[in-house]
Amino acid sequence: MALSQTEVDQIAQLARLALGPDERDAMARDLASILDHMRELEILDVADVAPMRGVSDHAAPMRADEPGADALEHPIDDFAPAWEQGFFVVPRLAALDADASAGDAS
Amino acid sequence: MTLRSHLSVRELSAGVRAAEIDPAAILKHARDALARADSGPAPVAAFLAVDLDSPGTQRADGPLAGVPIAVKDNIVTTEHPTTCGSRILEGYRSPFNATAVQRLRLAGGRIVGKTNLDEFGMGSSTEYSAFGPTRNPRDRERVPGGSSGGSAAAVAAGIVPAAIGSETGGSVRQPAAFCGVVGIKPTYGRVSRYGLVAYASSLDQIGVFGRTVDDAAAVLEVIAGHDPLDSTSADRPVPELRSAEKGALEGVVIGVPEEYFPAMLDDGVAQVCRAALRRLEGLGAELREVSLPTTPQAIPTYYIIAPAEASSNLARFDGVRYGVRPPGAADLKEMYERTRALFGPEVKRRIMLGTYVLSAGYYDAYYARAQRVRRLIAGDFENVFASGVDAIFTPTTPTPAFRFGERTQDPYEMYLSDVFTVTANLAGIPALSLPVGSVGGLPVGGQLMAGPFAEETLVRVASALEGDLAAAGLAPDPSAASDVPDSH
Repeated sequence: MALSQTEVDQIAQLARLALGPDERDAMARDLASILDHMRELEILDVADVAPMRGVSDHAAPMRADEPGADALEHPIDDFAPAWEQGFFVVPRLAALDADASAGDAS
Repeated sequence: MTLRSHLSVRELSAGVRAAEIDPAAILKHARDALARADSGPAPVAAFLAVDLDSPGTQRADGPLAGVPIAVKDNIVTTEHPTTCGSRILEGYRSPFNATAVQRLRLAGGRIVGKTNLDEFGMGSSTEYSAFGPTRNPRDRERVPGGSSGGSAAAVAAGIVPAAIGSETGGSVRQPAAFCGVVGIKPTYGRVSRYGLVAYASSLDQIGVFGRTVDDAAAVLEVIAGHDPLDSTSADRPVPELRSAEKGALEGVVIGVPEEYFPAMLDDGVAQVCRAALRRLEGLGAELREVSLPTTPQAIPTYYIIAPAEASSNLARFDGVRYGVRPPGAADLKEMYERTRALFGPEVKRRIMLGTYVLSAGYYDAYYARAQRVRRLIAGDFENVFASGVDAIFTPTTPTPAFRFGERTQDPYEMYLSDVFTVTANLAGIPALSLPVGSVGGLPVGGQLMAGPFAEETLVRVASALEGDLAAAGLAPDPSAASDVPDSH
């Protein structure tokens, strides 16, 4: 089956992947080829078969809602890129900077 | 102090506990083997990070005292960076250890480094590592298999007697077969996945490599068992995984599925595996023809379910929760995309494929259908084991190790490397690969599969076969890859 460039672009957008022109062409070709092989599944009648979502024979167990021991080997401020007064410091997005500037200007 | 080459894991640790072997001598032995492996124009390059100098902080007693162990680089450790073979995690260091790593350390194991892999475990050759491929120590012009190629190569090169890796569709057994070592994929839930970077959560499982069945079993005994930090971990007792008594296969029924001996199977691989079956029979086992009729649909099923789960799991690599954040993004969407541009081609392909099969209009045709076929595949195994079969024997791979570049042009051709291994992951059952001979100087792996939590059966049958092959002079030469002499 063939995949249109529009379909590839839509999937890439959902996956938050920005594909270059060469990548788009190769992706369309590869996905179409792989999906062709998936047609092998159509020969089976599975209408009455229940989906298998995992192999665990037990439901996820409940546990007491109590804080457990901290599994971290180092204190958080030891590995955080930036840490100030008990908070992570994260970089401001350029877009937010621009919005802030626009707000200042008005 | 003299350190005899190729001491077993249990011999090494017993020697360390009795103060008869100096752990420093073990590390020197490993350094020498590493130097040989990485010498010349085509280095094996099994490790992404390695430390064979410092004595480490693990305990000096325990069942793995002083035993050097390599860890696949998608299993987190605090001592080394964790890259998953990807540029996207460059510079990342975990603040906690995976449960399996913690248990190795508590047992006295010395974590010596992190091994190369296909990016996020997606590949069958290590050619998809962002940091370059690992070479097969048995033939450096060929791939070691994947995705745990670095762990398999580190064991095959004699650098470590055992290593851990991970499996989603055969990533321990396939490289074990290609490199001529033993690989075990335990039952889903047998080993905690806490600290294993998720690829496809309903399939992922940590596994072990060893030079021998007993070496792999000794490590599996340590890392197996319930862990409250992983809700899918099974709360079941872990049996001792000891080798079989001589002649202990009387009464054992071995199933031989015709679907795993198809026309496309390499002639040499087929002959070696048929010969191994005759040996099992000679050891007292009863061979019984069985059928696993949904086998031809296993690869398409796997390559829908695994990418679907991957597309969800890898959403966390967005530059916010995890992943390098390149500067200069104009908005949030561009920030995500700049980070995710660091994924390699195979990871992007699987994320795209997974997103497609989960998207509106295609979900029922692909994903829901694959989940139903998965139940048929699991049912095939249930039927065979319910009929009185103790273990199933097949080739691990359809061919021996292939050459670099041979399968990277056609993604589906690479996927077919996993044709005999994905079924155990889909069904969640334990499976083991052991060397059963060679073709043209390349190792051939034989695969044993058993019912859920029957690792004991796998070890029992595999060790009997291993012993029989060794007695006949057909065991792989453990020093063939690295020509390890006695060291001092």
